[in-house]
Amino acid sequence: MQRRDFLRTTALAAAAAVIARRLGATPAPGEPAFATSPTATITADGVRWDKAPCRFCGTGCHVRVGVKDGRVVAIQGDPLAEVNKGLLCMKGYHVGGILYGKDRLTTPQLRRNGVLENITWEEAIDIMAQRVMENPAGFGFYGSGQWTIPEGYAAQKFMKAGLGNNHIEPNARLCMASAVTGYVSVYGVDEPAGCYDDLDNADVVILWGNNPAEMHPVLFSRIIDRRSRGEKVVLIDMGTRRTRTTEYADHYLEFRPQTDLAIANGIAHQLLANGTWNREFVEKHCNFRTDTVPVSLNGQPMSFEAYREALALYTPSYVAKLSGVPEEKIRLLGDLFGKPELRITSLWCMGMNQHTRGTAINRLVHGVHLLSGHWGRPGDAPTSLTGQPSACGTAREVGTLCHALPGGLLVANPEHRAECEELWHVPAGRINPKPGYHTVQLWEKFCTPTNKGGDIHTIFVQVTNPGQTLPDLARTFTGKAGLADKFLIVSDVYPTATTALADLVLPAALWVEKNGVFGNSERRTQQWFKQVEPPGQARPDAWMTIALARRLFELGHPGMKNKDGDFIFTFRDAGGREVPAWDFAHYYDINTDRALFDDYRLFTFHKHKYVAPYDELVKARGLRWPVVEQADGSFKETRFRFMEFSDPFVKKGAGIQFYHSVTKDDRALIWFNPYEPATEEPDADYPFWLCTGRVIEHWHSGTMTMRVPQLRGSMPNGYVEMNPADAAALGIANGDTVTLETRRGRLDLPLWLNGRSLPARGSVFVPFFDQNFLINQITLGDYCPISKEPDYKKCAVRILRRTSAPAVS
Amino acid sequence: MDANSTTEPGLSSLIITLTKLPELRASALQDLAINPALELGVFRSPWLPAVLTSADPYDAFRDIEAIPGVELVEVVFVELPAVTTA
Repeated sequence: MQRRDFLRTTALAAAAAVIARRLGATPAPGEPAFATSPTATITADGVRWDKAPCRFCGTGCHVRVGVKDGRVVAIQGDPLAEVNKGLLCMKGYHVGGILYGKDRLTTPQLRRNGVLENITWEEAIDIMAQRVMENPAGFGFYGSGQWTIPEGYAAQKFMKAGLGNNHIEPNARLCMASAVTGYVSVYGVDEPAGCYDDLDNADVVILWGNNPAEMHPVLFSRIIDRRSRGEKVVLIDMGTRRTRTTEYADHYLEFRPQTDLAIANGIAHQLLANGTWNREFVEKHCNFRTDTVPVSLNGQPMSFEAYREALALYTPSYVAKLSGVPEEKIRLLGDLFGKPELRITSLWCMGMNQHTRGTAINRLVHGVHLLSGHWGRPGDAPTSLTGQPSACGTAREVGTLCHALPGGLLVANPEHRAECEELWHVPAGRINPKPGYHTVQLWEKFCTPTNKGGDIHTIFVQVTNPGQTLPDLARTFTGKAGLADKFLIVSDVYPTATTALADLVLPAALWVEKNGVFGNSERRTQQWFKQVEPPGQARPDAWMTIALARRLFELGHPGMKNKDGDFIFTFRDAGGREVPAWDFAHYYDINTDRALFDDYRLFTFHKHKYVAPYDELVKARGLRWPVVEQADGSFKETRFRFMEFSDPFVKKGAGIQFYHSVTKDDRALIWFNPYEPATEEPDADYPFWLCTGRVIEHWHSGTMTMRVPQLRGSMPNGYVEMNPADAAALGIANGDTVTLETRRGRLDLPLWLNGRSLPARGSVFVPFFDQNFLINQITLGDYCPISKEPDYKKCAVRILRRTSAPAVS
Repeated sequence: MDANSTTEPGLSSLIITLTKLPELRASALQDLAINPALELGVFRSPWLPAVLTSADPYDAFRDIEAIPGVELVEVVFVELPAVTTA
C-alpha cells in the first residue's frame, strides 16, 4: 500500500472511530493500536505516533503527533482524550506546521551597532550572567502561559529562591488575572470548581462577552453536538458585537461596553425582588462582601440587608436603560436564574477579564450563581476559560506572578515564605517579602530612564511577544529604544516585534521539540515527551534558565546555592550521581522535566491542589487536580471541587464545603460591586468604542500561526470592522484604508464590512494577530486596580478617512 | 516570513453532522457525494465520516459547511502537506 493510500485509510478510520465512540462503542482491539498506548508506537507506514496537548489555547485538546524521518507529518485528534474526544479545531489540526516556518531562529544573536550577529551559547549565557550580576535587583523575568510547568517552575525558583527577586511575571497577567482575583476573593483559592463536564450537563449556557465558536471551538462544538443529538441547550450570547457564536445563539443580548456589571447586578436584583434566590443555599454556604475604600482583594463584610439595599437601584428598567439590552431580555436572565430545575453554566474569557473592573465583574457572575443556588451540580457552574495552554498550569498554579509562590502561596505571607524556603532548602529570609512589579509596571520601569526611576535594567523574555501584546506600546515597550543602559533578552522561535528591539536573541525549542507539561482551563495537567529535534542550536527554555543560574553560581552569586552550598538546580541520576544539566550535552541524560515537576508537586499540597505525580501523567491524557492517591496505590482525579460527591477533601455530610474560604467558615462570598463607567468612554472628540481581540485562524500575536500557509492564507492580514451604518455615515466603504486615532496614537487599517463579526453601532473591532498592524500602539494601558489586568476591550477612538500619508503612531 | 510558499494537497478527515430532516439530508448527501475532493465513509446518523483532499482545506471546509443540510463540520485528522518555496 502506498503511504498516501495508507494515510487516507487511517484518516477515514479515525473519523469512523470517533463516530463509533459517540454511538457508545468502545475501541476495538485493532482500532488505532496507538490510541490505547501511553507511549509511542509505529504504524505500518513507518510513522511514529505519540501524544501531546495542543500548543495553542487553554482548552487542552490532545493530539496524536505522527513523526517520520524526524519530521512531524500528521496530526490527529486524540480519540482517547476526554477534552476533545478525537476532534480538533482548524488551528489544532495545523499545529504541526508551526515547527516548519522558513525563518526559525537557530542561533543565538547579539545586537552590535544595530545589527544582530551570531554568537555562541557560551557567549550568550556569559552576557546574561554579567547583566544579572551587575544589579540582580534590577533584573526582570517575563514569561507566559505558554511556559511549560517545568519551565515556569525553573524560572520561579531561579528568581525567588535564587535571586530573592520578585520581578517575575507571565503575560497571563494580561489575560486571566481578573479571573484569579475573582476566584480568590469569592472562594479563597484560585481556579474553577467545575470542569468541561458541565458543558455536557447544562440546560442553559450563558456566554459573558465570550466567543467560543472562534476562540474555543472544540468546547463550543461539544455544546452544539448535544443539539445534534436532540438535546435542548439554550445558548445566550451576551456581547458587544455579533460573532460566529451569535449564529448559534437562542438569544443575543448586545450590551453597551462596561455595563455587564449592571446586568449582573440586575439579575441579583430580580432574584431578591422575585423571591427566587436560593435561601437555603445562601444561608448555609455564603457570606456577603463589598469593597473597601480604596478597593482591596478581600473587601469588607456587608449584611444581607445592606446587600439588598445596594441592589435596589438595579431594576430591569434601569439596567435596560444603562445597557441598551431590552428590558424583557434582562427579565429573561432573571427568570432563568430563578428556576432551580435548570442547570446553568456561565462561560467567560477576555471580555470579562480584560476590564478595568475585571475583578468586580468576575465576582458578580460568581455571585449570581451562588445567590440563585446554580452552583454545585454538574452543569450549574460559573467557569472561566483561558487563552493559553498553561495559563492555569504555569502562571496560576506554579505562581509565576510577582506576588505569588508555587501552589497558591504568597510572598507577602511569612508562613508561606518559610514553607517555600524549607521546600527549596534555601536559607530563611531568602525570599523577598515585597511583591515585585506587575506586568505593566515592570515594562514601564524598563522603558523609563534609570535616572528617572526606571530601576529595571534588563528583562529576559521567554515564550511570549510583548512587543505586540502589551497595551499602549509606546509607554510599555518601544520606549526602551534609545535607552543605552537597558538590555532586552528574548528567547523565541521566530523573529517578532519583540526580537526587533532585542539586544540578545536566543533560539528556543518549540512544543514537541522538548519535553513538557501543561495545565489547561479545567485543572487538567497534561504531559508529553520530546518527539523531534529542534532546528540548529535551538534549546529548551528551562535549560536556558538552568544554564544562566549555573553561570551565576560559578561567578559566586550566593543565591544560587542552597543551605548546603549546593547548586539550587542539582539533579541526580538513578544512581545518585549529579547530572550537569546546565551543560546542554548532558541536559537529556535524565528527564529534567520530571525532576522539576516532582520538585514542584510538593508545593501543591498546601492548598489541596495535589497535582498528579509525573509518572501518572505519562499514562494519561491529562488528570484534573486534586489527584489523590487511593488505598490501592492508584490515583484518582477530581471533576468537581468543593462538592462532596466528587471532592475527597470535603467533610462527610457537608455536601458543599468551601474549605479555603476567605472568612475561614467554609463559606463563599457573594459580592456587591456597583456599575461604574469605563475609565475612557467615547466623547465628542473620540466618538467610537475600540475593542480588540482574536480570530479563529490565528493564535494571539500570530508568531506561530502566520507561519502556517493554510492559516495565513485564510486570514492574511489585520483589519478594522465596523457597523455598515456607521461606515455609511462616515462615507467610507469596504476595503478603504481608514485611520484609527486614540489619545495614544494613530494607525491605518483596511476596513472590512460585513466580515467576520458585526460590531454594534458606535464601535469598531480590530484583531491583534498581525505584526504589520500593531493595534496595541493605540490601546489603553488602564487596568483593574485589583488584578492589574489591562482593558483591551474598551477605549475611545475616532475613525478618519485616510487622506494623506500613512499614519504612524 | 515565507510569503512565497505553496502547498500540495493535504488529507484531512472530517465528521460531517447532517440535519435530521430527511429530504434535506438526502440532498446534502448527494451534494457531498459529487464533491471530487471528498471520499465518504458509512453514514451513521447524524454523522458522516469523510476524507478531504485539498490544497486549501479551509476554503473547502467552509464550502462544505455552506451546503444546506450540513449542520456542523469537525476535523479529526490532518496530514501536514509538504511545503515548497517558490
